[in-house]
Amino acid sequence: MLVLNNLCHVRLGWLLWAAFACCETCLMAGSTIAADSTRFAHSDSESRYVHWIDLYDTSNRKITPASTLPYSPQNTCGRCHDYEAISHGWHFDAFAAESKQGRPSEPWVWTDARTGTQLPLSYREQDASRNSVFHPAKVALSPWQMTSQFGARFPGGSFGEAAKTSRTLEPGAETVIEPLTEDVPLSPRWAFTGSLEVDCMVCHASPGDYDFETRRSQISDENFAWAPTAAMHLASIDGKASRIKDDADADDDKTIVAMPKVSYDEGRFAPDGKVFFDLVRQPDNNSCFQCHSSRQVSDGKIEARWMHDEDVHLRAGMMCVDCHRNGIEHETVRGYQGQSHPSGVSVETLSCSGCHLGSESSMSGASSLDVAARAGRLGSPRPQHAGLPPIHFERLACTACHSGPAPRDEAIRMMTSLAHSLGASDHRTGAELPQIQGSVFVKLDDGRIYPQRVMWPAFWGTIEGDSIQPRSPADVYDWTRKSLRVRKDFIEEIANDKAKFDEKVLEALSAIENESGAERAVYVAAGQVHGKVKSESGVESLAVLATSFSESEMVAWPTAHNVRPAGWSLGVGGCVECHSEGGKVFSSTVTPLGPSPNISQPIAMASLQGIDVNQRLLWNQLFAGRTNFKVMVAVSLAVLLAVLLAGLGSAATILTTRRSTRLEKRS
Amino acid sequence: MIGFVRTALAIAVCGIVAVLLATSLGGGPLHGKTLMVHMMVSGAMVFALPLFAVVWLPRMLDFESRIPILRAGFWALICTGFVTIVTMFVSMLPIAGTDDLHRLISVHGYAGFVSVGAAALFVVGWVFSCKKSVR
Repeated sequence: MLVLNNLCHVRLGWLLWAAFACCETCLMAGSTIAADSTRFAHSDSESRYVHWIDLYDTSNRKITPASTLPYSPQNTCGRCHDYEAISHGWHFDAFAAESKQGRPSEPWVWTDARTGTQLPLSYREQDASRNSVFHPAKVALSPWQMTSQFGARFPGGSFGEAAKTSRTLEPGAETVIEPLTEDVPLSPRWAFTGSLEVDCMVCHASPGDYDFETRRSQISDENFAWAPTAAMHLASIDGKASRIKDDADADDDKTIVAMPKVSYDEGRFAPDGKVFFDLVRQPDNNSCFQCHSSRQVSDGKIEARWMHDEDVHLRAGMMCVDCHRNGIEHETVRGYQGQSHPSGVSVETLSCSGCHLGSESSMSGASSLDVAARAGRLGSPRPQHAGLPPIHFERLACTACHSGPAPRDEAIRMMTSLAHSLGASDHRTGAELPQIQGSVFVKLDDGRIYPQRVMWPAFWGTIEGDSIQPRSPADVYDWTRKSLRVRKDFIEEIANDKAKFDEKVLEALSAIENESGAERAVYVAAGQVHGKVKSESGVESLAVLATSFSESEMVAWPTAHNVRPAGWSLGVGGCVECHSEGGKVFSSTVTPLGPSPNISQPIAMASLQGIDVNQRLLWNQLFAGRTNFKVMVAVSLAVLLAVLLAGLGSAATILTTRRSTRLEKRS
Repeated sequence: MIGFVRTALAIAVCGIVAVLLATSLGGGPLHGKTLMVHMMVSGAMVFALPLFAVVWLPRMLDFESRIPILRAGFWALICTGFVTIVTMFVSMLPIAGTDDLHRLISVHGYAGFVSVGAAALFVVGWVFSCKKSVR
């Protein structure tokens, strides 16, 4: 019965989709419509609205202590809040078709330690030059697989919901998303797992009220629809949808018995059947940290937390949401310079430069009457930058000097919440895939240098024309299992031994070619493309191909946190802190990492920035003698001043003499 | 000998002014190779201008015997040169904030452009002076 209910919910989703299809376009185009909506009541007070509310289950029935279905955030919260508008906001659109990218952001990285895979994925539109970030559909990864893999690091919505997925498969529908229709069939597992709806309480629960670990555990058990209920400890959940086979009959008694069971905690219900949800309008920092934390790894270990300071803004008492704001449409401000907000509202003063220096229009005096464009928001101090030539603001982002870990001689390994599921209780060593590094100082399209995190993709693919097509990680595992024979860790068991790597990868490539029917399979790692080559005697061996492929290139995304205080910014020690041989912004290096024994050469930041080596050398020499030059300038000015005084004196003497002569003549 | 040094320094200073002008033209702030050349040549200017001023000073103090256009060119060059160098010098010290630096750069630029006119005036005066002495 439960299965049927879930299936009904999927069908209901289809209908809902049809009903919302018309207004969706409007919502996407102008999210202010949602904010202006009068469909929903609002309290319009600064005080917290106390949420004693009725809960509704996934079948949209009111929940009682005897209910057997999990609570649905969409059916519960969506009664008073514009769920449809919210579900198009930033975060939730990470799993939506054709979602906008804006400034490059961290991709989802599909990792499989057994096959040495670290594959950057994103549903967001990518810049044409960013060929090494792949659309999941093009790697034949279904929305269900993506939800299963990354759902615990995603607040839900979009493709996490069966209804949203099914629309992509609806024949004849106007919004059919081509790559998904043919390559990725609708997963049968949605019928068992339910949808991973936007879980409002992930962010809006009072600190300590929401159990993220339980949510992770439920999603890991494929209990998508049950995760919000379990995370709020509204009920105990017994059973795992992951135990049900793909081809199970939903009406079969065995299947029904195997489905997760819900037992609500009667103590949570008031006599009138309402439940208290202790929630906050502005999410607490801890909610953000669940998906936005990072750790540094050096000398093969995760660096101790006590050695690092927190972001200077948080230290000053600010909250993440003070800058990263949003309205009901949940288009969270990302806070980078030049961001254009879908609402049309200027968010310039929510960026570093906008908040501390004012918007560009206010700086040029064009809108001096526009108070909202001025610097000093929330009491932000105006930086002096005394003696720093303004050209630096044209060439460097604020974050280049003020953000990220203090630069070292070489970029270090980083772990992030999105990539390494930080926040989950685990036994991490720091060596886990993906191999992300930072800070790497690379330019963005605006020509400025930004501190960025980078990684090199590692995946198995086939050469198609002049590009590499990654193969589905699940298929690759099946195809290469016998040839690779990795029990746990590809790096430890194969990639650390060159001879073994060559032998096993060669076999695995042959297996992929046989299974997929592709002409040529390759393994990409650390920026190198490994493929089979045949000697004159016909013997096959593994070699790094000489041809370069854009699919193997470095993936980079800028970071802005943690912000370091002025005293810890680059350049405080003077020009030579950067303009010298050891200037970290230019001279520090990053080495392409990947599950491969072939060690790549370190790349200097200056090289990544496209700076000519000789030109940089000349600059450094110019700055090396800067102190002496200042003395020379002072002497020069003294001499010129003396000459000017001599000229003035001479002119004064002549004028005085002439005056005396004139007076003498008169007398 | 002193005549040769005087001539060489005058040519050097005028040449430097021309290069500084060439490297400061174009839209937007200076950067890259152009800025590097501008900075290198400005170093030469800092060295050459005081020498030029000292070597030419005795003649320029003789207000009666020299043609006024040469004197005007010389003193304008020294004055504008002083302003360009002093604005550059203050910019190099950790004194001025971003807004003040923008102002200093503007003054530096304007003084620099005026110094081009001054150098031109000096050259014209010098040519006339040479013709006069040949006659």
